[in-house]
Amino acid sequence: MIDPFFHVHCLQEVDSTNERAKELARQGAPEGTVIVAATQWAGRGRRGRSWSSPHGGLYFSLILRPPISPDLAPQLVLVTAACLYRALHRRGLPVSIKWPNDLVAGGKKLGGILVEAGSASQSLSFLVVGVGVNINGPPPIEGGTSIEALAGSPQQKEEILADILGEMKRTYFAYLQEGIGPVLAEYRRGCTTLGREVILVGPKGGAPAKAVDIGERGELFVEDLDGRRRSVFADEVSLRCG
Amino acid sequence: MNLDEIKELIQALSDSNLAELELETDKVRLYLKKAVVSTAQEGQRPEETFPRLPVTGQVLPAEPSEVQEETVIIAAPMVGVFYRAPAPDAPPYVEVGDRIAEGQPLCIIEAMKMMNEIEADVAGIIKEILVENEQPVEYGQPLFVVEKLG
Repeated sequence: MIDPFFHVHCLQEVDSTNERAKELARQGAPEGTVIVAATQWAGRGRRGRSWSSPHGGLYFSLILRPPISPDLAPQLVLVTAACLYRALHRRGLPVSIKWPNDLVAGGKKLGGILVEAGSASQSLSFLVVGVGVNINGPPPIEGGTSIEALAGSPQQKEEILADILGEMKRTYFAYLQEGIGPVLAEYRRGCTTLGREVILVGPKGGAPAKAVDIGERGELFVEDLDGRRRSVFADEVSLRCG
Repeated sequence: MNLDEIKELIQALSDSNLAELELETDKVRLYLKKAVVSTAQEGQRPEETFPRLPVTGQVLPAEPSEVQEETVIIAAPMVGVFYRAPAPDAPPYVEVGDRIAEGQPLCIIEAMKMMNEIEADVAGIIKEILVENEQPVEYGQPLFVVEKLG
């Protein structure tokens, strides 16, 4: 059962659940509005990259209106990742978070998060939290995996959606009350990137480093070969890790 | 007074505990006021440490002309990467000289793979775009100079 906090709109086919959700948010749709689609014909990842969305996957976008300033909004990526981790881990699935916004299992991609916000220059007006998870059927991308492949049999998408949304509601309201601390602890537990050797790909080529911690803004702390510690933001460098 | 000096003042105000700043010289009257982000409701915020408040800047002409011209600087509300278009192959949201409506998207700032579409606070004309596409921006950094209309 989906928590009554959420108003769920189920669609068969849509260009992109994030686009529909942003449109509704601009028209004043309340917090808790969810767009779910069986398939997306123009599913999107970051910066217009396509997100393959065949039948069998779970694709939804959730509208939130947190009373926070725009510079804190990236914390909702952490909130969402921690929720996905917890909801799927509880089903006994060996999932983990690949920093900052991917869900993986055994080094294979299982899902991802795309958070988009609308704000005036000073205040946040809405957030759209987009989630895509491969549930049933063959993984849509090479090197991907699915919940079906991990569990050994097809799974109920609606149940998984209800679990994830239940987790989102609990975690989101706890976050508004208590701050990012508990979310960050959960994120760290679920994050496979921590403790790994990573390659930071910058304008001057790749540099090896070790991922050691996640900061309150979601930044990754790394130590280079000389033991120097610095923070890395997802958009400054690309990161490769298994 | 040039734009760089105004930007410096905005930064100084942003870094300070002052709520507003007024400056008058022979040629210009400048009034800067921090955006109204109420600190009275701090308890509702998820974080105790709330960083410097953003600013809006308004440069008023010293002698009111027939057409009341007011320039507004739209600043970055967060640290991130500045994008002028919704996707790499899409046209920019706005160009210099464009007339914009209040609420119209002007750019995207990306942080931690979260895309934040920044909308105009005011209706007006884009006079200047101060940051190149795909460049990192700081908190409070001026992005657009807009001549306010209406």
